[in-house]
This record gives sequence, C-alpha cells and structure tokens, in this order.
Amino acid sequence: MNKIIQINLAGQAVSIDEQAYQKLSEYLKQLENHFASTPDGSEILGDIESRIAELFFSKLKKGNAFINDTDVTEAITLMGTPSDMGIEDEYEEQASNQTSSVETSKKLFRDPNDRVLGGVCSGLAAYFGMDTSLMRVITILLVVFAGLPIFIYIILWAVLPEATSPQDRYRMYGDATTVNDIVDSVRNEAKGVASRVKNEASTVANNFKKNAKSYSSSGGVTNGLGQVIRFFSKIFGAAVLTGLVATAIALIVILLSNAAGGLDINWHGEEVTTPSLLKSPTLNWIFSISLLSLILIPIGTACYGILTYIFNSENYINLKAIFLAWLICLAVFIGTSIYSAGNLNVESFKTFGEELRQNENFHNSIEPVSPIDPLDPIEPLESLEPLEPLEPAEPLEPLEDWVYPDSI
Amino acid sequence: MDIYLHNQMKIENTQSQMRKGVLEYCILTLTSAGEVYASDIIRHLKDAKLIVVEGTLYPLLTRLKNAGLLKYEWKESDQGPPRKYYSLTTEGENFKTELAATWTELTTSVSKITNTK
Repeated sequence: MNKIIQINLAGQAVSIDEQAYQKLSEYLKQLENHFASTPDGSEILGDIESRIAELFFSKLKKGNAFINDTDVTEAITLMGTPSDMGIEDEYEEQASNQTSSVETSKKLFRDPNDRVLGGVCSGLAAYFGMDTSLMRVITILLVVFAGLPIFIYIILWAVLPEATSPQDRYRMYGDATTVNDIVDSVRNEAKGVASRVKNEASTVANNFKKNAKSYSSSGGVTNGLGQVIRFFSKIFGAAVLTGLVATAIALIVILLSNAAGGLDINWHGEEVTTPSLLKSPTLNWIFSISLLSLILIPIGTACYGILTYIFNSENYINLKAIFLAWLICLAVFIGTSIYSAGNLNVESFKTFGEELRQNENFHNSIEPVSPIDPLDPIEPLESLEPLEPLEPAEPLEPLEDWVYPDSI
Repeated sequence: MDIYLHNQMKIENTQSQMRKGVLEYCILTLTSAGEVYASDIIRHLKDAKLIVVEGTLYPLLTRLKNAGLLKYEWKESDQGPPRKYYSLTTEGENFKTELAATWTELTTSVSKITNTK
C-alpha cells in the first residue's frame, strides 16, 4: 500500500505515489547540487522540471491515475544523470576567455575517485607525481609528529576543486611542476571560492525575482524561500562546525593527557599534576583512547556531513562502517570500564585531594585569619629594664699574713 | 598514472571538443526554422544520435541564450506547463550562416585528406 500525494511540479499539480516522490525529489536534489555553482543553474533546473512535468502530464492523460515509480525511473533515464549534463564546458570557456588559450597546464585538484576524506592527498600526490599512499603517510606523520595543523587540510579541501571531467583529470597529472604553479592554483581557487559564494547569493536573488514575477517552478525544490533557508542553514552549519571542532580539540587534549599519565593544571597559581584515572598505565591508555574515539567518531561524522553540505559536494560517508567502528569502541570502552572498576586510582585521588586541600590551607594561612578589633587593643608588654652590666670584680688583694695579737 | 588512462582522457577530450562545436551548429540550424520547442530539438538530435539524454540540451540552450544567439517566448500548452519556444536572434542568424560556411569548408577539407590517405 502506498500513499498518493499531490505535488506542485513546475506549476502543475501532479498526483504521485510516495515512493516515486522520494525518488524524484532525490534526483532533483542531485541536479540542484550539480548546477549550484552554475550562474543560470536555477533556470536550467526549471527547464528540466518543466520537461519532467510534461512527461508526467502525458502519462496521466493516457489514463494513469497517478505517477508511479516506473514513470519516475523512465523520466530520469530520459533526462540523464547529472554527469551527462556537462557544465564543465562552460567553466572551461570562462577560463579560456581569460587566458585566451586552452588550459593544459598542471593544476591542483582533489581526486574524487581516490579519496579517504576529501581526496586532498591523492590530488597532491598526482600533482607531484608521487604515490598516493606515501603522500597520505607523510601527511599523517606531519600532523602527528610535526604539529601540522589539521585546518590546513580543511582549507585545502574547501579551496581545491574536484577533478570531475576528463580534462580536469588530465590537468591533475599535468606535465611540468614549479612552486609558482602551486601558488597560482591556490590563488585562483581562492577566487573561485569567492565566486561560488557570490553565485550562491545571486541564485538566491534571482529566485526572489522569479517568485516576485509569480512565475515560479516550485515543487518545493527550487523556490526562493528554500534557497534562503539553505543559505542561512549553511552559515549556521559553519558555526556548529566551529563549535564541534573546538569541543573535539578540548577533548583530545584532556583525554590524551590522561592517557599520557596525568593532566597538568594550574591550581591557585601552582602547577599540579592530576593522577591518571586508572592505576595501570596500559588500561588507562586503552580507556582514554576508546572514550576519545567514542566521542570523536560522531563529532567527526557530523563535521564531514556539514562540510559536504556547505560545499555541495557529494557525501561519500559510509554510515554503516562508521557505526560499526563506533560499536567496537563502545565495546572496548565498556569492557575496560568493567574490568577496571577495581583499578580506579582511588588512593592517588585521595592523596591528590589531600594535597590540594593542603595547598589551599597554605594559601589561606597567608591571608589574615581575622581582623584585629581596634576597640580591644592589645596591651603592650612592660618592657624589662636592661640589666646593668656587672662591674668586673676587683682582684682580691693577697691577704697579709695575719698575726694573731699577742695580747687582747 | 598508467598510459591507457592517459590516452583515454586525451581521446575523450578531443571527442568532446569536436562534438561541442557540431552540437552548437546543429542546435542553431534546428532553431532557424523558428519557434521550436526544446523537445522538438531533442527529438531531432536524438534521431541523429548526436545526444543520448535530454538533460544534455538544457544547459546548452541556456548558454546559447545568454550568448545572445537564441531567444525564447513563453507559450501556453495543453500538454502541461507553459513551454519555452526558441528562435534565433539576428546575431544568431549571422552566427549560423558563418558556421554553415565553416562546416562546408571543413567537411571538404577533411574528406579530401581522409580520402587521399
């Protein structure tokens, strides 16, 4: 049993079953993403919607009560996939107008066919003629041991275009390489990001105008309000993304230092090291890492989802695999938690607490305990007069020979 | 990168360059009949095996319109939503005549070369 719903497609009321509707709106969403960066994308999309509406109309005229799944599939095969609707030609034309020659020079791309995250590493590897795995290993080593900030990767991800057409792929491998090429391509792409944002804004404006003329190809997919909502939800997404990244960084610092054996904190101006959570260093390590992964996996997935949404790129995320990895972390976490229930570093925490308290008392004792009451002056002690120094005793004179008187 | 992929890209690149120019010329010729509907253009192009899916045409029509070679008018239709009917602008007319001349030149040159080979 299927629900039949009424939709507005290019200004036509169409009855369609729910499953078919899902399929159609997914397809139109794909097209919308594909044409999002084309100046007249909304117009092209409107043409395609009109055509699909017409195809449906003729089906309904033939006596079908509603549009079903087969009709939608038929229409989609007739119209073709987004990749059949080449818009990269237009890009090339714009590019060659500027440089007045067909561009065959090497260019930095992201490789969508060979990606772990954004395809940045494979793109760089292609550019430098290196092995992709080697590039990935080098990147990870640089991040972990040399402190290369992760956001450089994210910036490259945002700035570099995907190599979608054969021409792009050709240029991705290119011929000659100089440092200037890299600087140039990054600079050009920075302009590209600006124009992508500008395009987005102009599409919104165009759609508003179109709606004002009351000639809208609604269907809930390309209308102006939807565009505005999408635009602002992207900005909101960027804010959420920043928050998530900050949280993740804080968690990484806290849990990794716990894994490393304790956290240095500043307590009343003194450096104190907290004891690690568990007695056994190994258990402590496993516990921290699994807890960290448990939290970071959903955060990372959300970040990736938001990024693909913001940049209209395709989402290559494998939710099943991620969920599986998360379950494994959960199992490890629960396992270590149960196993280490008796392994809690209770004594260390007790002594640590004692230490903190002493610290606090020490600090408190410096300050006056209670103010002295001025009404009750303490009487000064009577001072004792200094004792006079003793005079040195005169030397005793030798006794004269005492003569006992003869006669008394 | 392996040589096969490299060559494949070169071929695809050249093919798409060749097809691009020809497709533009054919669309202009089909529109020169005046007031044609997109699906009529599509039907002809499909018959001639120049395009496979309809979606290819819409970006092209929009581009030619933006270049000032085509214009369109909305017309009501009993088949569904209002339709865009395309026709050539004066500039498009000139453009088409020039392309026609170039095409005749090209076909003679190319057949001369491929025949003498």
